[in-house]
Amino acid sequence: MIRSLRSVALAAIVSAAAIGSAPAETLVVAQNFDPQTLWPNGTTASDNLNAGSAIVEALFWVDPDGEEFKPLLAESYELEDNTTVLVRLRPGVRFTNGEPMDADAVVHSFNVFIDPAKTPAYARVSDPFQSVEKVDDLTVRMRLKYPFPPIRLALSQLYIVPPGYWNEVGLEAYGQRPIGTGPFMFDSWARDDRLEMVVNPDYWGTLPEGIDRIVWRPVPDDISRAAGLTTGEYHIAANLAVASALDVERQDGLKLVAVPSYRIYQVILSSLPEHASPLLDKRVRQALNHAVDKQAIIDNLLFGYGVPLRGQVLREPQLGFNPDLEDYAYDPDRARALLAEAGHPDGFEITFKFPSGRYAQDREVSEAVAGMLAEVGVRTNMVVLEPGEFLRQLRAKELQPMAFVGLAPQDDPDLQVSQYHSSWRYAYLNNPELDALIDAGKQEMDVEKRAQIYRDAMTLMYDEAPIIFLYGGVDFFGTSARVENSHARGDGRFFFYDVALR
Amino acid sequence: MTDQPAPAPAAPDARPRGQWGLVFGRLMRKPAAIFGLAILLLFIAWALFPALFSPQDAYAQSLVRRLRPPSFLDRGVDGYLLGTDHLGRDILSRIIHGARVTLLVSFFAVLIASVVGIWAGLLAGFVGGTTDAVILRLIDMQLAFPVVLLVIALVAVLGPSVTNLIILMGLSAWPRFARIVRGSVLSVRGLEYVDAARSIGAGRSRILVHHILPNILSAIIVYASFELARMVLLEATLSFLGLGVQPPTPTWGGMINDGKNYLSISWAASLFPGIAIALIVLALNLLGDELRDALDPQLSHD
Amino acid sequence: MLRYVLRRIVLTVPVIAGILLISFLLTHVSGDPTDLILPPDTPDEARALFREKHGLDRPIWVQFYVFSLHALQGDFGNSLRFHEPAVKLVTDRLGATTELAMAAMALAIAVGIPAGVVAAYRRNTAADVAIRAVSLFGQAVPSFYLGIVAILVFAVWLGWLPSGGRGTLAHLALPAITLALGLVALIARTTRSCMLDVLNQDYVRTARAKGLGEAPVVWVHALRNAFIPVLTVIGLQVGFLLGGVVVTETVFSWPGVGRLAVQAIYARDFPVVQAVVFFFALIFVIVNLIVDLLYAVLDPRIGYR
Repeated sequence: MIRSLRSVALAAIVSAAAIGSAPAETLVVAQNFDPQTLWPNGTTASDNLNAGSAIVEALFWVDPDGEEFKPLLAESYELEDNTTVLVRLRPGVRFTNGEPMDADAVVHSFNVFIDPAKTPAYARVSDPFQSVEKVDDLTVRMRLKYPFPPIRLALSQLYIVPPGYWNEVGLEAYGQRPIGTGPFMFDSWARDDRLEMVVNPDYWGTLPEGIDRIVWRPVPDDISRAAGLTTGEYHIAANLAVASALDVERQDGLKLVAVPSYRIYQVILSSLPEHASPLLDKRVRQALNHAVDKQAIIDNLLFGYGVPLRGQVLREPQLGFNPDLEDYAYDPDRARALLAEAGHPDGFEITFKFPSGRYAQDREVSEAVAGMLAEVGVRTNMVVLEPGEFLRQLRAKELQPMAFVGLAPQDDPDLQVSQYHSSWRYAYLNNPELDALIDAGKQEMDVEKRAQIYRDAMTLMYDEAPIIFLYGGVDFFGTSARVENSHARGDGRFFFYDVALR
Repeated sequence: MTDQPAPAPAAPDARPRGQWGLVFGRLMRKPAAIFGLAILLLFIAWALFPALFSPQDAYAQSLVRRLRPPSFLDRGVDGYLLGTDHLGRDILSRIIHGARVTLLVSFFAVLIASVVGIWAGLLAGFVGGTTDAVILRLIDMQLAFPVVLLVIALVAVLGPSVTNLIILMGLSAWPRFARIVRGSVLSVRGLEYVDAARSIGAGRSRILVHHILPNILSAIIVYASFELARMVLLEATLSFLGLGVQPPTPTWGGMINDGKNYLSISWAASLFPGIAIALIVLALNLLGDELRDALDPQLSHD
Repeated sequence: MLRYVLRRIVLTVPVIAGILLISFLLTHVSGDPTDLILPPDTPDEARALFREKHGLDRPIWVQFYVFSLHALQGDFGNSLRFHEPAVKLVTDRLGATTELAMAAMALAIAVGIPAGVVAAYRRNTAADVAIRAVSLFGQAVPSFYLGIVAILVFAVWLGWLPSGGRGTLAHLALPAITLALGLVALIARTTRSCMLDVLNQDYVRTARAKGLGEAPVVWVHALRNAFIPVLTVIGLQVGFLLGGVVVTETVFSWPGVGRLAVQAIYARDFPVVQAVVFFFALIFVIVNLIVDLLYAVLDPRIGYR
């Protein structure tokens, strides 16, 4: 305690003398978990990426404000044809150990990135890449195996590491003590307790204002994380529970940042013939959609912090969102009528699986859904699953005939919609018409044509009702009111570009 | 306790046939025992006939009147005496319905644990030798094994159900009984009357049943009342970890777990099931203590 | 004596081997870490490579053979998530857990034994009732709930103590008290119960009859003999403590083994689960060996066979 106070004071004096502005101080960030690795391409877990990408930077990034695609270590890219990308790098950037950030570093990082043995968690976005060649010191040409419309998404996930240091220490040690080009440098790490970073005085871009050090604290319990924010122990607390979010909102000196998440909550209604159940009948699946009062769930259980889905799995700002669709209205009478039409005038009994502790409020939303279904005669046998077992069953197609899930693919319509392609390992439907649309969208490089394909797919999914469309999630970040311009994104990420601590 | 002249120690095997009647008579003279028994009987009645006692349907949800305080406070709703939970269900009715599974799971888990544990403990302590060594190793293995891991793995394989939960919780607790019983057996084994019984040629099982068991019964009863309380909490912890009894079936532990997320909005949802747990623990402990005293004739004079 | 200790240590080997075998089987049937560590949309080829790299594609008996071979040399393999040896992950955190568990145990004994003696000696007085009522509280509340309420009261409302983390004595206070509360009750009640038994034994009455003062009778003669069952309970509670740290460390963000264990179990990080189970078992066995040795010191009638 005393030691850290002294170092803060010392650092403050030094930086005040150097810059001659307001003294900089330590920013304390509380996340759920300690990072497993600080090499951003090591995992896709947001806790790891938030910390790691303060040190190691990518070629581009997607700014959550307007979901804008912005350059970082690259200056620009151009598509020479459908399968060739030319990337121009930012000149004059160096890693903090002095190695130059140039075409050689990018070629090295690219080759690590496309090797699924080294980056298994990124295999889905790195798969289209074939090879890379150095054009000159600041230009590289990447070749793709096939046209890949979400190319920007892939370029924003290729993190650049210094080849000399990497080859010296290896992948594993690099993740424990990374060197990068970012606004912060690794300082020390007491596992499960505190990870410290100091500001990089030679940073190529604009440094966050008023911050000379970041301390990352892993705080797994939701209520303790919010408590530490209230007491002033943390400046930023990520991933708050909704009840804590309401507290933060009420308090002076704290700010609540509520970010619509990429996670789409839904109830799987399996229509696969091997999962025999009344759900094989489309009318039953539509009836269940009419039976659930989604707005009541959003207004009450989520205290208004949920995004209505409008009968589709694409979010409103996403390419392919279909503005003509409206969700199934809450109409228990209509639901009962459809059930009767399908031959279930007295309803039926069905197994309903859901996780406990995997998603925010998973257990209570599932109970509420079950209560609403009971109103129209659908009696559920609820089966609660431990999160690990839940994920196993999801992938093994055992979450049938009915299950509550929240799927959060990366931000691209193809990555979202292909989860409903019959070849997908956890698709609980088999619709050749939908498969054809998904296959077409995957290859279509023309943006307008691609959008139309997905709008058609959304209309088809709406009618087929392979899921109960519930709501889009909202993530909560609590910050001290002194933290300005925090960029929090719907995938749990946040960034320090332009952040200020005043 | 004064230095009154000590009564002649009663030989345990000389207890009259009607000793249980005598014990009950002694119990009924103690207010603490009557209080404990009354609470226990009330909870058992709730468990047997929940519908008779519940003012509301324990499963009926209403999202518009959720997380309300007790009806006698501001914002309370008439007819919902202790308020409503996060899904707008009546807390009192859920506590009454929750008595069934909570008590069922805990009682049977302790029953399994005590039967297995007492048997193993007696065997180990009395027979000794290799039997003792083997049982001790089994006890160590079981005790040193993390219960959470055991439960996660087995629930994943066997599937979640009340029966599986009872068996798992029971099996996780047997070694504690065994250790206590074994320890007690070792400490009474050398006492005079056991030696005396052995010297007059009493068989092993006779010594076991007539001499050793009565002497350790009080320790077992006290411990069982503890274990019952622990089982109620273990079920709560398991539902905290997503491994408890299936919703929407109410259990007291599960209700605390659901309610804790809303502590800052409503204290009622977690406090009242907590009080129910405290009451059952209190009742069991009082009963355990008084029963222990009543069973011990040497203590009955003050 | 030495022979007895050696014999007990030798006997520990099959116990730990048995635990490792069972935990190996249990963890491996409880799921595939690939599902939990890689994102759900990972293509099959990348999954296959991951499984191959960590030997998960081999038949379970081959995995067990390889595991045993390494375990014999004290190597439980690398964590599937942290790319570090599992043993190092555990030993790095053992200090924090020991600190917390020892503080809680010391607190529980310091409060529980005197409370139990007083309650027995002053049976059915106000002091006895008060002690029983307070110890009841510690038993009736789940520790995850107690911990959260403690944070809200002492950190948020009163602002006296930090909400979590490790460092000063102030950081230790809340988690240690939370962990100790469940133990105080058990120790106090066991002490009370055993003291009552002992106070009526012949030798205590003899001591009294010989005219020894009440204090030496109660605190020396009686307590010494009542201590054996209490010691058993304390020894057994080491298992409870190690289980209790799982919840307490999570609630108070304490950087210990309990938190590592629960996260490893959830992620099916097999090597880490194995290493944690091994260390927990080892600690438990050692503590209980010490308890058994103490028996003999306290009660000469118990011999070593």
